[in-house]
Amino acid sequence: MKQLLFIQSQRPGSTITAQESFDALLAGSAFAEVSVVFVGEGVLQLVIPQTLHEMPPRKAFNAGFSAMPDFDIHKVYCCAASFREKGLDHQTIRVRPELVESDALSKLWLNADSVLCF
Amino acid sequence: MVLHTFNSPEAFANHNQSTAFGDQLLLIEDGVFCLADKAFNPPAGLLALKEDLELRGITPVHTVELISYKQWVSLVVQNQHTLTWT
Repeated sequence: MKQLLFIQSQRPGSTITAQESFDALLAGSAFAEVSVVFVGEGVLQLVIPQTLHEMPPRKAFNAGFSAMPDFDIHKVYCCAASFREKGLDHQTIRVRPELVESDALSKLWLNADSVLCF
Repeated sequence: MVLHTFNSPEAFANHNQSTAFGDQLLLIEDGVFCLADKAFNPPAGLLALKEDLELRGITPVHTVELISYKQWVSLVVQNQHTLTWT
């Protein structure tokens, strides 16, 4: 089966790019063996948002991350350097991705048949 | 080999650490503004799109290899993957 790697590098927030790339990931899982890696500001997608009273409550799209195993998405990686840089260790995150050091990141995309970069 | 394209200086700053030795790095669109910044430290073998530089009227203060859109297409064909960092 074709191996697809999705790279999530967009920060969540006022744009829906991060959410749409997650939709693409779920769609991709229907016809390929997919894996996903969060890099750069994309690691912030893992953080569970706290709704502020003065803001309209935003639907937290990353609630859907918990459904990834149901879509046969078992390979979830995260750039270890970005993870530390954003201090994610101390925050509540949605899923427990496998942390990958920078030198091993390139092996991820070299082992994939196709790479989709968001 | 992998071709990485960067379409803004921020994209380059955020993601150039994701590149590996031997990969090809190409500045496209607003990414070429990196070359107008004296503080920018271009890695060896950095490429930039000539047309995009000319379109923005930038004279590079760094020496990098300038390529055409046609050469870009060849690079895409030669490399196993193209990663588009935005």
